[in-house]
Amino acid sequence: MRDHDPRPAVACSVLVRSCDALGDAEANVFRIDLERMPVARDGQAGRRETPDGAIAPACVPAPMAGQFFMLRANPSGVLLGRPISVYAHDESFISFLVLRKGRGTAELCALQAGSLVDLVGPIGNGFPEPVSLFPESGPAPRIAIIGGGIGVAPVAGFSRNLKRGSFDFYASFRSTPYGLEGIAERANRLAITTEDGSAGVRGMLPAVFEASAYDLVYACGPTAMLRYVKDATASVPRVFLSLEQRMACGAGACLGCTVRTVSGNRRCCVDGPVFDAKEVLL
Amino acid sequence: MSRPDLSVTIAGVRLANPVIAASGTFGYGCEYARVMDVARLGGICSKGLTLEPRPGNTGVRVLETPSGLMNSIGLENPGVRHFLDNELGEMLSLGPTVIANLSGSTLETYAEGARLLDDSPVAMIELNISCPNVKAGGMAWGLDPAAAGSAVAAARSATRKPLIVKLSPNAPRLVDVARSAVDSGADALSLVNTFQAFAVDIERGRPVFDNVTAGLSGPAVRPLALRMLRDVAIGLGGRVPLIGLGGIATWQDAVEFIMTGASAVQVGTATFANPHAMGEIVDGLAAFMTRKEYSSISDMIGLAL
Repeated sequence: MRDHDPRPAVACSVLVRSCDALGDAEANVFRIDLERMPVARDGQAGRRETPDGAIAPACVPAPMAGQFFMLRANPSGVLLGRPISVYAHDESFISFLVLRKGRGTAELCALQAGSLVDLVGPIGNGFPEPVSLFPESGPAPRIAIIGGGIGVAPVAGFSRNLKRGSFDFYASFRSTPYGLEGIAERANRLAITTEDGSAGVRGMLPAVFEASAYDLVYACGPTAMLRYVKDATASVPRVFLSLEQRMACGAGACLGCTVRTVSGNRRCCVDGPVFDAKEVLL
Repeated sequence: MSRPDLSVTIAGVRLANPVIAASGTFGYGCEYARVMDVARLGGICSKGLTLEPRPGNTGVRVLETPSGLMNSIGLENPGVRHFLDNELGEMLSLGPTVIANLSGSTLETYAEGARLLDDSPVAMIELNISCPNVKAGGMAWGLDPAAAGSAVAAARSATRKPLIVKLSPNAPRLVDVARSAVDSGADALSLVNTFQAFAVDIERGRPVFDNVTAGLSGPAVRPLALRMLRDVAIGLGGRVPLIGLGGIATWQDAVEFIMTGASAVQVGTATFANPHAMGEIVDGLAAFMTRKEYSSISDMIGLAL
């Protein structure tokens, strides 16, 4: 993994730029864009003293692909932020895809432009770049990127860092696909599966994925899918899985999100969320 | 008037202010170091330590509830020796008073853990006789006055460090447990640890947690914790300093606990919800004391009893 600090850098409030349902079928997935400029308690944007005396950053630090934030609507009826992966970002905003699942995510999905969100982050190790794994002098690795359901968000974001045409992208959904803007143009191949056949191949990932064609695989999705990827890619040289866990602190302090690996427990939040498939026990 | 003095002295140890990071919610002090100024805290309690490393519990470990958090971590920790060799150095460099939280499964492991810590630069030991999430020992020590006394006596015999004993709200006779802990050598008491609670996964028709029950913390428990603090404060009549905890999230909450007899407070779950919570509590206490013309924390301790 790259040499950087996986602990959260800031905890502050920011404004919602936009919050829109993706697709029309169930409208359970929302894209939320947040301003990177922290907001003071009096609602004024810009530099400020934080309550504990430190100067708030002028800008929420840019996340690396595969990192996440703890997000909570402000005001909120829930206690804790929810861990949400970064989908995209630029100099002024950070974008997330949120699956409406419980109370915390329902609050997030009901936000409107101009609402406030409390965030903590960016958190985690992120996806290792191919150049850090395979020598540039050798042949380019054959790369597969796999996203299942809402797990498409971090890998879609990561794929924007990769050279156009250098990867195949697999996306598996129950029903209508989402989160794939620009992927077809950049991927060597985009393969979509849906369980209801509403798009792409009817079925699940194994219907389209052939592990032996790859040297390097990145995947994020439901645990059952990651378990399949881990097993199917046993002979692929490098495989990285981004895991999801219930979290409380998002800082490595509470040990609530422990993941089992061959070398003992690891914290999903700051030791992950990206793990080597050969090390993690699912 | 001059700035109020927020410092407190507990069992001979001076803390710059009465706000302490609660065990198990602040790692070994460095986890939140980028987000907040850790040096502004009065003290930091380490993650609960045991003599030997523990992997903690399997399955779901945390579950949010209305205004609360259930946890079943199960004392995952690298063991006292690893703590002394690896985590303690950086923890000491942060500035706040370092308190090592120690658990045991037998009287021998309490004593041996305390002996190892006695030989270290930690300022104080917080004896955990109240963890609800481990099968052997843990909270069992804190439920019964005689058992609590024996665990405290075992640790007491192995260390001259100031000894805080952390009490369980699940004890049927909490004041008797508190009295027994003090009789057996506790220099201070912290209360309360988490409340034993239960949740069902209705899709599977099974308990959410592999360990079946889990500990409840957060604002949901605060009024209960405050009432227990009151019981112990009245019952013990000021024999030892009390450290209050249980759902404290704001400076107003901290003042309530201090006015109910606490010399200091611990903050845990609130940090997860708002990493700035402890800094805000320190600032809020200072502003409140200035407004009310309290020159020191002791001016407020027990006012509401």
